[in-house]
Amino acid sequence: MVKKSQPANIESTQKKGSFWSQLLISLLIVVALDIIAGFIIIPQSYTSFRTPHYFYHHGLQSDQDTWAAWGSSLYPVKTNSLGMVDSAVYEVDLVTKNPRLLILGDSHSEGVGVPYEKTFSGLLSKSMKGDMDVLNASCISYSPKIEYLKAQFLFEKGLQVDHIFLLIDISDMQNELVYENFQPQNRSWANEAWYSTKFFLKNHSSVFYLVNSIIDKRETRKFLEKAKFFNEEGVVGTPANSLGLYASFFRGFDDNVLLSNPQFHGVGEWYYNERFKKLADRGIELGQEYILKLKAMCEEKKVGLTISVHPWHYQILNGNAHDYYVEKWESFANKNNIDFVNLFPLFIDSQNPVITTKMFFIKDDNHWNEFGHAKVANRLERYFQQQKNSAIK
Amino acid sequence: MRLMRHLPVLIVIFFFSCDAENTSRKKIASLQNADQNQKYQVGMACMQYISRYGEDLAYSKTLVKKLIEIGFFAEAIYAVELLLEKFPGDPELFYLRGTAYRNQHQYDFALKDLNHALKLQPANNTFSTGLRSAQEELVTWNEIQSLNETLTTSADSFDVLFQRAEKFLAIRQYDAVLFDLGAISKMRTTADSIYFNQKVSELYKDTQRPVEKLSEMLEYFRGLKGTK
Repeated sequence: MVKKSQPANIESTQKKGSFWSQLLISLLIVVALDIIAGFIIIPQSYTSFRTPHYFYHHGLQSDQDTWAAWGSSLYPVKTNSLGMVDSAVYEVDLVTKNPRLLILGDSHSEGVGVPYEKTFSGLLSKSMKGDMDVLNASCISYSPKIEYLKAQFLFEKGLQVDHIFLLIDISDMQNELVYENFQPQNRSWANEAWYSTKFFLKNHSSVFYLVNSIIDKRETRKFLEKAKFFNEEGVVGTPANSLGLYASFFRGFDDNVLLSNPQFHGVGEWYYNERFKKLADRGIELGQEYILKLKAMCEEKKVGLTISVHPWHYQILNGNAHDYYVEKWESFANKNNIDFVNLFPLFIDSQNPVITTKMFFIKDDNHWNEFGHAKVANRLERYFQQQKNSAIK
Repeated sequence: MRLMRHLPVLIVIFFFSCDAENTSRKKIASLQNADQNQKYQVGMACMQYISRYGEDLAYSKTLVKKLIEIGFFAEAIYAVELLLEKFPGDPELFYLRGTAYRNQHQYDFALKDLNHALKLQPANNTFSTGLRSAQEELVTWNEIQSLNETLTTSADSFDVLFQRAEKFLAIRQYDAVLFDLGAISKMRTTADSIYFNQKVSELYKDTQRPVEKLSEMLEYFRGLKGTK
């Protein structure tokens, strides 16, 4: 009996084996076709290097060499092994002999619309070469909560820095409210692998790309419906590509009353408006909570911390270089013994404000152009020189 | 032999890239009559062509001119930088970048580029006129900077702002003129503010003749000089 059944077993095992191998080959063919189709149908995306993150909400994918778009501008973007904008794609040493500065901030500090070499961090990196290495972990729509999480993530990864310079932006007031319920997931190998796989599929798999773009479009449409302020092309004077990004950061924010209020989207004017001043204060308070957490973490790691504020067009046109917002942050910094740099006077002086915005900002945009960046780089270089001199004394 | 083996693939790639370039040109052509709301699409299409292809210098330069025309000066500067990597000796590229710098009031860079363009092509009338006009503008610009300095020390800024507005008009900075006149209109009587607001709304209704309208406003405020 046993002898008789042996060939049947072998046959069935062979059948099973050939079934699995056929399935595997079929799968491989499907994947190959999917990726070939992806090569043909996935258009060049100027946001492909941006990625969600399980711990610090969103950031930049590491080792990218691509083009980004901002408004009507196209500019090259390169990221290093830690997913930071940089002059080249390279492996960052977690520990160096040179003192190291870590810049944290949002789109202003990331340098949207401007090639890295012309951004303040690129210029600073060049001018301080030999004295101090510069790393820039900034990213669009960051605010103190996300900046704190990003710093924590980098420290836990083993990155050593000597000083953190954090540029607080006016939009942080709004971002803090939007990210209030964001909970970072645990750092794990599985999360890391899942997010990397998703990033790969989004940029290479035709099926994943199509599904993802349908979801993205639906979500953007939903946002546009809620925020009645916008039309399909964005607000007049707002480029559609920036609007898509803007919409994506509001996923998970479900205060429809606020979303549908046009004034909510004009965060630059919040603290001039009695009704929105409370919201502005709330946003500032939330931000300050995380700056204090960052400060505690910096003290533990023996890392210096400086914060700064800079104006938008509205503040420049108002012409007050020491307004309510500056005062709020300055008194907070003084009270908590944090170094503070006010960048408002760089852009608010006796010059006609209309001319200032034309000279130092991207057209119809609150972000600096290359000359604005040069101005900031110059100021920060002086600041670090003063720091160095006082340390020597 | 090796080249012959790869020839079909190279031909396919060549035709594919030709087609992509034509598509890019067609897109730009379709945006020729775009309205103000589509200016970002126009700017982006121009930048896309220059950054991806840009081999046709004459065509690329028309796109840089388009960027300057719609006021995307920073983009025009970067587009020229990309083109200069391929055509480093083209004089008109320096002229165009100089023009974009001038529009951003970055006169040091502007004069450097305009001088360089003229050095490469000394007989070019457009370049020499452009350089002369930028030099003249710089004189007015320096006067504006001097006025800015007095503004911080002057007790009554009416006169300084008025002079500055006149100079901004001379260099066609109409928004800047309006801003200074707006500040002046709040310094004397309520009637001045009312006059200013009325004229601004007229200006926005009739955008064709800004110089005449602004000159009229300047004339009104000239009459108020010295009064308190």
